[in-house]
Amino acid sequence: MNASGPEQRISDYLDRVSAQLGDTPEQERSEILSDLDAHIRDAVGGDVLSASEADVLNVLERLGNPSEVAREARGVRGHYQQTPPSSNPYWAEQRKTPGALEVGAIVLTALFWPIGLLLAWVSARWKTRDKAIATVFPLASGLILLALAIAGAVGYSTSGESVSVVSEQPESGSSAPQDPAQTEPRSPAEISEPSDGSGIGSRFLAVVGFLLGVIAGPFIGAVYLAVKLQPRDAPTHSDQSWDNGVPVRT
Amino acid sequence: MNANGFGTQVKRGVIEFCVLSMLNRREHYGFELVQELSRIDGLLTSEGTIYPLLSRLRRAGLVSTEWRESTSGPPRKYYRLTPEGEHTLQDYRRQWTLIRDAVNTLVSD
Repeated sequence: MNASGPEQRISDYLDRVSAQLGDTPEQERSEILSDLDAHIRDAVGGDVLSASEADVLNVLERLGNPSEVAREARGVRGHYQQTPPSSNPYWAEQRKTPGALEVGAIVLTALFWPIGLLLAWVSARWKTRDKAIATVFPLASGLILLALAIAGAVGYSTSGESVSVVSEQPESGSSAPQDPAQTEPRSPAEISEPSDGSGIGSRFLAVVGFLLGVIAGPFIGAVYLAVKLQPRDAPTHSDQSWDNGVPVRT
Repeated sequence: MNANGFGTQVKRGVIEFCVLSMLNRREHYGFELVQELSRIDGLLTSEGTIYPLLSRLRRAGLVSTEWRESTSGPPRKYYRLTPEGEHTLQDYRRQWTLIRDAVNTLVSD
């Protein structure tokens, strides 16, 4: 019997495709295999028994390498479904390149957080939740500073016996500024202006506290952003599966 | 050309577009689709890749299938476009027109 030749070729080919399909769901695998089988039988004129082995080999060659067929099935899952449903080519580009935008966002958040965080919000490489958390640190320290500044201003203007967190000097009546315009404790130069000996320690603490307030919040925000930066190909927009632009029903 | 090369990716999109267009005209069985696509030289380099594509289109709800008796052999699986598939095809046509015009403008002097 010569018929075992062509049939054997077909089943060998289908076995190789099946092996290459790897972890493809069983339903999809058997569908592809039976479609290929039907194709081969159609291509040789409906009757494999009367086909020559050469005819079958030609048909199989046109079907292509089993790994290529499997790649079409696998590649779609591995590659396309990871792509978020963003039609904006800018976001797509963000995924491919290690972003100058993200580096700028992290560095500027530490140095000058309003611009840094703006960049972070523009970037697609952070989850919205992480962007919000990163924003809270500099904002909170800014608010605390503002509160300190107000408390300081109130403390200076209400009495010479200062209750200010910035300065607690008993004999400062002559040197402590009374003009509200000069009570703003935001300028380190002004705060560290030397007065009599007893105030230097507390003024130093105030400067350190002030600097920590100015630097720490944004710095923590920047570190948080650096830690939470998403891997290049991670989908940040949604967890919905997409398939070459077509939503997949599973 | 590697598997994710420009040509390969463009062809994948074009083949999907062609398949939806062909099914919009009339229903086809798999081998028929391959025969028609094979008339375009170099488009479908591995004919077997059409079946994972058809499987995906079916799972995405863009095409539906139906078995029909054949005059020559076992029943055949016919593919046809669903209303959602027609919708997608219209969208592809719009995009194709945009891309074609843009490329023509840039490529011609």
